[in-house]
Order: sequence, then structure tokens, then C-alpha cells
Amino acid sequence: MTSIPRGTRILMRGNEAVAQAAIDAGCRAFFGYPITPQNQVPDYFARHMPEVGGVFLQAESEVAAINMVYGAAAAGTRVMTASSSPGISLKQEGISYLAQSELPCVVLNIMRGGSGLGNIAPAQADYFQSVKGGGHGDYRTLVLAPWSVQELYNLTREAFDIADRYRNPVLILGDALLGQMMEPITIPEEVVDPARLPRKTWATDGAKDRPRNIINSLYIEEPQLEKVNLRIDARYEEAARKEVRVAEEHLEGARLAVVAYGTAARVAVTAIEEARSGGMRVGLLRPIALYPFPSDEIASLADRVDAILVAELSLGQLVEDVRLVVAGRCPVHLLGRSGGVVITPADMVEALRGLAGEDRG
Amino acid sequence: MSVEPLYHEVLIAGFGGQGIVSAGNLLASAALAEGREVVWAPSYGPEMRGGPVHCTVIVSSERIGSPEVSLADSLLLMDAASMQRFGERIKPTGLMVLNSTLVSARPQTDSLEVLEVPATETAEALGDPRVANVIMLGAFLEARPVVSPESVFEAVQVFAGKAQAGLVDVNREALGRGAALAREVAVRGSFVRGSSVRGS
Repeated sequence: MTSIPRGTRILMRGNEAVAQAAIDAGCRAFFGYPITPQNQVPDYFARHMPEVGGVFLQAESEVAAINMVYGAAAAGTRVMTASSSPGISLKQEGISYLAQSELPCVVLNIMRGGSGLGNIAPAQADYFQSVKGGGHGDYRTLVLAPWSVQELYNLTREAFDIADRYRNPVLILGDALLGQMMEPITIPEEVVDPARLPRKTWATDGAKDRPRNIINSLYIEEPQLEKVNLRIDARYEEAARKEVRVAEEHLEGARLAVVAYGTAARVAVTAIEEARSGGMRVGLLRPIALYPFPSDEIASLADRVDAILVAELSLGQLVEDVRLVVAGRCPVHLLGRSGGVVITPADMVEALRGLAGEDRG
Repeated sequence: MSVEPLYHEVLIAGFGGQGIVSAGNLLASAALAEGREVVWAPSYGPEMRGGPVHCTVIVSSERIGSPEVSLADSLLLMDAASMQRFGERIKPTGLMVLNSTLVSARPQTDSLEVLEVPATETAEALGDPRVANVIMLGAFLEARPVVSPESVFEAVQVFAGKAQAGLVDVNREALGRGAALAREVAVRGSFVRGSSVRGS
């Protein structure tokens, strides 16, 4: 067990909370390559992984790191990597291989302003990359989007269970602000002992006294590859039934709804509070899982409200998925900022007032 | 544990090495100890000694929504460049605490409360220029007691640890001097509202 105080409120950075959560979830291998604004993650692992006898390794590149993740995952270890937008792009080939090889792992993306090298300010512009696959092929990553330091901890711990359950990479999607800010957090007493986790019977952990296992993503025969892909797809369908997570606030009797995740949802809380104190009936629907997407929840919301405002730190990505499931039931508007610019509560209140006015007209 | 309702957004700015991030840490730790909700956020820029640096701290009795500070209730500015950069990031009736040793400009509006504190000069007189940040904190907390100076002092003790126990006394003195300076300028009438009047 690491030396952190447990069961009491402490101040912690988002990036550090993720690393602590991984260790507490029984993760015993981290491979990464430095990039701002997630550098506190490898820093924390470097200091604390040795306390639990785990492996911290700074690889020579992002590509090397994700392939080390592949190796550790194939051997049955709970394993993680972390990076920030451009670095996550570099890892996509490896993530595709992990998905095709049915290997569980956790990947953290602390998003920064993009595209290209962009900047190191908070953004949500990797939404499409996260929920639509990211690398080549017919796969998905399961995506969780925390909005606080406590939730970064909680969801990272859960991510390891989800990854094992579906034998698939799970992506934690944060941003520069969530990763670097400090908030009060309570770290629970109980931790996972990796030695007591259910044995991964498919892992390549030594074939003495049993038939050998093969971890592979190459299937030359078409029907064989399709069979594997259908097996993987069935898991995504199961995830769609079991892993949808949303949080709702003030939606009862609301005429307007904001749909937002992560930092944009935090801004929405402040904006909605102000709008409601001015008499506006507005609530929040916050997807906590971005894939599987809360399709039914948003479709049903569209039946109840006059209009939806999608707020995102990107120029129209989440809004596409919302419009797809709303399917014309109500107008869906976008409030998007880009390049590391964070939406202000004042921006959002103004957008809501505009919608309320439109509605009256 | 504090119970009275509170929501206060603070922005602290200066240059790398002035203890901007530490000042924010001390404030955030004190708020945590007093049972408050708190968000501490650093500037995103590549940081270096001598380069511009700032951080924000939100202290609240309720859950905190937006972690980003758009307009601060209180602005603590420790050098001339940060006055230029952040002088406008403040609510119309906010409090501006200026390190008057290094900041000569004054705000162009008369709705602000302005507290001029010769923090660097006073820190040097105390024998440790590093405690200018804590002098600023002491002055700020005298004008806006969002946390008690005792809680800040407890945070100082934790931060200093056994290895730097020598820092504890000078920081205690710095907190007290900051508060005294705030009272002094207020009494002398140079706790000005507006731009024209300068402290002595």
C-alpha cells in the first residue's frame, strides 16, 4: 500500500489522483512518455510504483510505451499508459492492436488544445478520436469522462474492472484543467490486491501444465477475422446495455437542457445555477460514459424539453452524437469554444437566454 | 469548521520564484482544513524561474461548479507584468492587493478596493525575500478573512516539514506583518478606493 493518507479529505491534483487510483486498482505496470499537461502522472507513478513492487518505465516514445502496454496486458497484468492529445494520436496504432487482440488496459488522455501540436490548455477536441475508434479497424474504446478530482480517482479504479470485463482498452478522458487542478478528495481505505484478482485464463503467462495461449491480431482468413470481430462487437453491445452512465440535475420540469461532460459540465453547473436564479427552467444531462453513449436518456430528454444546448470545448463533436439520437425531436444548439479557450459561465447563461427568448418567440 | 456561506475567487500572479503557486497552495490547504470546498488551479503556461506565473483558488461553502476563474473577487499582484496582464481580471467591486515594491501602476477604475503592500521590501527587511508571498497573503486575509491566518500558518508548518523548520518562524512573522500592513494602510487612509491616491 502506498503512503497516502486514506479515509480523510486531502488536496490532490487530478493527474495524481488518476495514478493513485490505478495503483489502488491493482495496476502494477505503467509505461509512458512525457508530455504536458499530464506529466504529474508518470511523476507520481515513478515515485509510488516502487512502494508496491510495480513497474514504472519511461519509454523512448509513445509508440514504444503503448506496445509495452500490449506486452504487459497479454501477460495478464493490470497496466496503464497516459498521455496528452498529440501523444494519444501516436498511440492509436497500438490501441487498435490491443482491441483486436482482446486485451484489457487503461489509457488516460489529458486533452490539450489541438489540432497538431496545438497548446497545453484545456480542450475536449479529442472526442471523435476517443468515441469513434481512433485507430484503424472495426473497434471501439470504452470511454469515461470524469468532471472532478474525486471522479478521476473513482472512474480510474472502475476502468480497470471494465477493461477486464470486456477485454478491451478503456479510455479516461480528462483535460488540462482537470488534470492539473487540486481539489479535496477522499481516498478509500480498501485497495485491490492484484494477487487476488480472478485469473486471466487467456493470458500468456507461462503454459506449463496447460495448452498454450496465443495473443494475436492477425487473422488472414476473412471468415475467421469476421468471427473475432463479431465476438468483440457482442461485448460492445453488452457494454451498451450495462455501462451507460449519466448524471442529471434539475431536469424535472426543465424547458431547456444543457448536455455537457467533464470541465464543460462544471461550467454548466455554475451557469445553470445563475440561469435558474433568474427564473429559467434549465437542467443538466452529463454523460459520464461517452462510449457507450447515453442514447436512450438523451432521446427521452428531447421528448421532454423545448431545446437542448450542447456545451463542449470543441467545435461541434459531441453535438453530432446528440443530434443523431435526438433525431429532430427538439432543436439542438451548440456552444463550443476551441484552442484551449474555456467556455465561461457568462457565455453559457447568454446562450441559454437566447434559447429561452427564441422559445418564447 | 466554518459554516457561514462563502464563495470567493482569488487570482494570484507574479513571476516564477515569487512563490505564487505556494501562496495558492497555502490558501487552498487552509480552506481544506476549515472544511471548505476548494479548487486550486495553476496557469497552463510552460513555467520557469523568472517567467510569468499565476494560479487561482476558489474557496466556497458549497459545491464548486466552474473550476476556472473568469473575474476574481480578489486579485493579488506581485509584479508589474502581472498588473498589466491581470489588472482587469477582477469583479467591479473586488479587492486588489498590490506588491507596491514592484508594482507602480494603479487600476484605472475607482470602484475597486486597493491595498498597497510593500511586500518585497518588507520581506527583505525580515531577512528572507521569499516570504513576500506570505506577506501578501497576510494582508489579503486581513481585508478578506476567507480563511483564518492560523489555518494558513498550520499549512506552512506542514509544507516546511522537519527539513525546513527554520522557515516556520519567518513565515509566521510574514503573515503577521502582512496583516499589520493592511491595518496600517487602512488606518492611514491610503487604503484607497481609486487610482489617484498613492500610499506614502
